[in-house]
Amino acid sequence: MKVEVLRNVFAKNEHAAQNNRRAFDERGILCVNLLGGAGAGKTSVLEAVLPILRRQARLGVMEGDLATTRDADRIAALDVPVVQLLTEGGCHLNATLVEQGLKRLPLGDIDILVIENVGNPICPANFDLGEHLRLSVLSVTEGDDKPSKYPLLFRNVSAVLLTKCDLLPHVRFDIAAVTEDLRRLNPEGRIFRTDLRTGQGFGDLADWILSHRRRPA
Amino acid sequence: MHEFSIAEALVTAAEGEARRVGATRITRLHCRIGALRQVDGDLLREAFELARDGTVCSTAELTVERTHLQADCPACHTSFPIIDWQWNCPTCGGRGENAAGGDELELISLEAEVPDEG
Repeated sequence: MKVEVLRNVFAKNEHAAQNNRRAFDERGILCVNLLGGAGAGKTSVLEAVLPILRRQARLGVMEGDLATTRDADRIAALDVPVVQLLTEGGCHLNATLVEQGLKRLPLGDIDILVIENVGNPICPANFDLGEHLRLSVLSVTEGDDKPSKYPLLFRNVSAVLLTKCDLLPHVRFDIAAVTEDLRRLNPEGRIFRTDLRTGQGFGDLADWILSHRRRPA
Repeated sequence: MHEFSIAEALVTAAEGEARRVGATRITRLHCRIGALRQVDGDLLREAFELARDGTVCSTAELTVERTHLQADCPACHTSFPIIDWQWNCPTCGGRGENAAGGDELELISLEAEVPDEG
């Protein structure tokens, strides 16, 4: 017999993501999921923006990696509570891994939780973690073809961070074409241009994140 | 490699449906996967063959229906799929907008053997 089903394949992950979101909402925590390919500059973005955010909010970070605690060590050096989630070969975080990680963070003392996903432009974009904001990081050194090659990474995101913009004169990156591609994929999404050399863009990014702060339910 | 996660989730979903309708065997899973999911068909099939082992789906076939991101042409109101990042309307050459879909990831239906079906 034929059985009509029509259900989301990732229903189990969606369920866990909703549980996470409920846990955040009960405590008034804003959760940000930071995505991007390996080397896009996700951890460096955190090192630049967390010191600005912490002036107005209590922070927590979850670091997703295949191996090593190097990223978590960099965040711990900023004196921000951090847990390292090791996927041991898995190429993305899922909501259940995050749920387990939440048990190791002082949630009552956190206003903004940032989850840095595994460096990978494809798989992580498929998994809702329960976040309120999804931020994609694209460095200009990766090339301007990335929105066309990895559209999901840029489609359902709240904002795109273009990083390493100080290198624009030295790389082939047509920023007008990328902006146009991003607009087509995601007309509502914000675009921030950043570079670590001058600190450009990180103040605006921090203000934008802070404007989404939540209150306990 | 999110194909294995998808294959496992498909088998788990089918197992749940099999329990619901009292099926002893699932012979086919029909799913819909959008191009934005960047699922490799061969990898998914391999992953599915591993994931189905020892379950009610152990002999099931997997049918995958593909969808694409769709855009509207503001000039002639044609809706067309975005393939190879071509945003120009195939009818009039206008630039597509209002992109939608292409991110489907759904189990649509199953073919199941149910003992008391008669």
